[in-house]
Amino acid sequence: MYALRLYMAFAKVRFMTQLEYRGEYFVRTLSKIIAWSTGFIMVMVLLTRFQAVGGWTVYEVLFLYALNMLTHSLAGTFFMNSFENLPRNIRQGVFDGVLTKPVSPLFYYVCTNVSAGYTSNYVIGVSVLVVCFAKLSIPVTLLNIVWLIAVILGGCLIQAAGFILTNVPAFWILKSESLMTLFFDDVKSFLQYPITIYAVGIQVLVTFVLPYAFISFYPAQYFLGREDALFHPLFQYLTLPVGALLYFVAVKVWNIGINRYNSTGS
Amino acid sequence: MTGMYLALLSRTFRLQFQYRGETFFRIAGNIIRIYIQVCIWAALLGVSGAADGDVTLPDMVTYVAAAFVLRTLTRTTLAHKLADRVRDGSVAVDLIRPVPLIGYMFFEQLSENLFALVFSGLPVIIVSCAFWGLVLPSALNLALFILSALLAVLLMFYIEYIFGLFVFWIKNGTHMVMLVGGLFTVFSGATVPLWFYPPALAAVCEWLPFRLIAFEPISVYLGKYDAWQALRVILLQLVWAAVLIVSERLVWRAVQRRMFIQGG
Amino acid sequence: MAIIEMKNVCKDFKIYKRGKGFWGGVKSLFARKDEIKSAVKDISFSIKPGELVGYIGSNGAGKSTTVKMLSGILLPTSGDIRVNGIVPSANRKQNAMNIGIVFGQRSQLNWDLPTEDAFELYRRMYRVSDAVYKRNVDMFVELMQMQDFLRKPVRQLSLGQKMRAEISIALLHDPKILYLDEPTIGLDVLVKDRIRDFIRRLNAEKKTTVILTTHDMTDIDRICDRIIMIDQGRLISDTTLEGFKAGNAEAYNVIVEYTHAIDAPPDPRVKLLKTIGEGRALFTVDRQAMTVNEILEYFSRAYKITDISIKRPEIEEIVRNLYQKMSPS
Repeated sequence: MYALRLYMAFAKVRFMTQLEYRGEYFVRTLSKIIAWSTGFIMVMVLLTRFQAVGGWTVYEVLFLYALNMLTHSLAGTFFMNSFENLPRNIRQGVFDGVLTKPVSPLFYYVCTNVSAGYTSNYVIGVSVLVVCFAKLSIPVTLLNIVWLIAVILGGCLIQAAGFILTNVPAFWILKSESLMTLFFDDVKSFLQYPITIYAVGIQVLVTFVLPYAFISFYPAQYFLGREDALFHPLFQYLTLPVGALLYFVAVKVWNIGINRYNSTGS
Repeated sequence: MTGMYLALLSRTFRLQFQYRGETFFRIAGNIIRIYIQVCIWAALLGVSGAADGDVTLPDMVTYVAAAFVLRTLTRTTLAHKLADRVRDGSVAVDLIRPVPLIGYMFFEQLSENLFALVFSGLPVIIVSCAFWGLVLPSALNLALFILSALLAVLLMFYIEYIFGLFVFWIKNGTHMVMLVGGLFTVFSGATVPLWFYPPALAAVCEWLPFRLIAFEPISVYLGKYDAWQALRVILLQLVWAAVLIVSERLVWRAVQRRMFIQGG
Repeated sequence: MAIIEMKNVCKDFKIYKRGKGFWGGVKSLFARKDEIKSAVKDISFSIKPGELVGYIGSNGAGKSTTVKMLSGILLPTSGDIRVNGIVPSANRKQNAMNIGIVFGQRSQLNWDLPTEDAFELYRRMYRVSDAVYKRNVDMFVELMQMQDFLRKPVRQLSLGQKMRAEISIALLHDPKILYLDEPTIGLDVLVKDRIRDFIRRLNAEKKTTVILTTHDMTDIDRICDRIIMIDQGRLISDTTLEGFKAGNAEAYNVIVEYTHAIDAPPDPRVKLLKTIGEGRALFTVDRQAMTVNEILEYFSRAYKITDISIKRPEIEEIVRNLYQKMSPS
């Protein structure tokens, strides 16, 4: 309860201050809308011309895209500002303050870096999902809705673990920004299209090594009634456990990083 | 003057060398991005390739690689750098420097991009060539491509810089970068050639400078244009360069007015 | 009973060396040499509740490293640290409740929210009761004269205002110990005075133990009862303020600029340290032996003066002198 109330206090402050500069908030929202809609626009341009990619039609691909974007934005609300800037905060010594507070370092660090900039993304992500449900005639049953929420939750946990794990090396390496670019941003771009269009090695990579495929590709199989995945059809149901496991590992590694910081400083 | 620019070039290269790890990661990331594009085109053309008689997979692989080279050369962080200078107040010093700020920043950026091209772009091109094969142009087309690529760099730097100058009003460079990035993705044809655009969207692109930074130079490279059409592209680039240079002067004057009145 | 106890504490860092120049850069792409640097070497001291301790030394002497170890940010390589009976790095959260910490060069408060709201946030984080919170805020606002900027966003405060807010926030939860890492750096004289008075007052009323690192002699004079001096990671002296002054600080540095010297009888109490170019010289004068008046009188008799400055030596200088005295090599 103490933690929740403290979080609410922090979040309120972060949101209030970010809304204070209204001109800037407007530009930020606009630029985020444009940056994310371009992805949707390009998918639509391509699939209007070519009808399908790897057997997936335009709304099926958009469904993939929306799942990734929505979970990225939800997790990013908490983990983007904090972890994208972790290497810099460590280098500049800002991180020292995190360790002198009477709350858990992860909790404090995330709380003081909550972002208010994703609201437009939630709207776009949810709208595209709704359009896809309608266009693809996915039945809107209670089960499907509960399952969608579970899948989004699992996806958020995978994304959060991605934010954490690709930036925690900053505790060991001075400049680790490129790790996040490669192992989070670049590798995740495999997910914009069905992974079946890539070589088997890549499908193994995004399923077992960096299991981002559980964010969108495998859960989409369930909703689209597809069974074109390379591996066992059971994988469609594994998003939540995979997410929970990854997040657990991420927190463990974060704690190891904190101990390392404890012995070396910045 | 040349001496200063050479010193700047060598400093940038030295600085970039320090981040050795980053260079390796960037190469890997670039290969991933290109591989994805190639897979998408293989999947798409595999289905309806027949319908596009004059566009083949090697064409598209070359298109992807050329777009990558152009993106490496034209990518800028000018808006970020401007924003930093505005925030810490050093822009006031820039105003009284003997070298114009824009010249200094362009050259610094160009040095970084050349480094990126040599050390992370070239390996990627070699890999693409080895795995998928690239279409080689005629000597004339290559010369025309290089000329229009240079103009493309100038155009993109000016666009980013002009958008960057708006940080004097909105304080944060990140969003301007995202904005320009978004416009570039949709209107430049860097990811999807304009041949495949719906007619309405392609018509909009006609009136914007972005296609001159990616789609048109690549078309020149691929020999989709004869010499006269290629010269027309270059002429159009020059016209846009003139428009942008004038616009930059106008915005810069507004910035100076603002600086003198409000002190930044 | 000591509130802070350091026993044979050492701290080593590994640092990476980078090649110089273009080819050095190329080479460091492939190979890199490590080097061990000892920042703190075998330091022991113990501090009683309510003491006001100045922790001084030149830049890179190991002051910040020590403060970081005491606050639980850094783990010592060897040795034993107890703060209020607990090991700081092992019980970080518990330790945080006992300490307040202020870094003069690095602001903890970089939010766009009003100072008052920042107080409120810290109140929740440290679970400060309403009564204590109200009493402390009232006291801090009055003593530090913060009424005028309580509603201003923290980011827009001047350096002096920000420092007063930072110190107040660090003290909201009535910590037993306050670490101040160069709190007066870059501030104007009035604000410095206000902060110094405040710290003394706090110590008198709440018996807060204070550890202060600084480069400012006046800070030491006005705040501290005890001086611990370190150099290159080693403890070189630990005395009362009086002992410290008697041993080291009781001297004036006098810099005189003159057109020419007048033949006057030399005074044995004035020692020439060095001449700086033509018509400029640095002297040292024992503070006990001569008053400022006598100094001025002497120099106006001995020289045709164009400019004169009488200053107390910088801490760096004292440390250097003391260190040379200790290791005559």
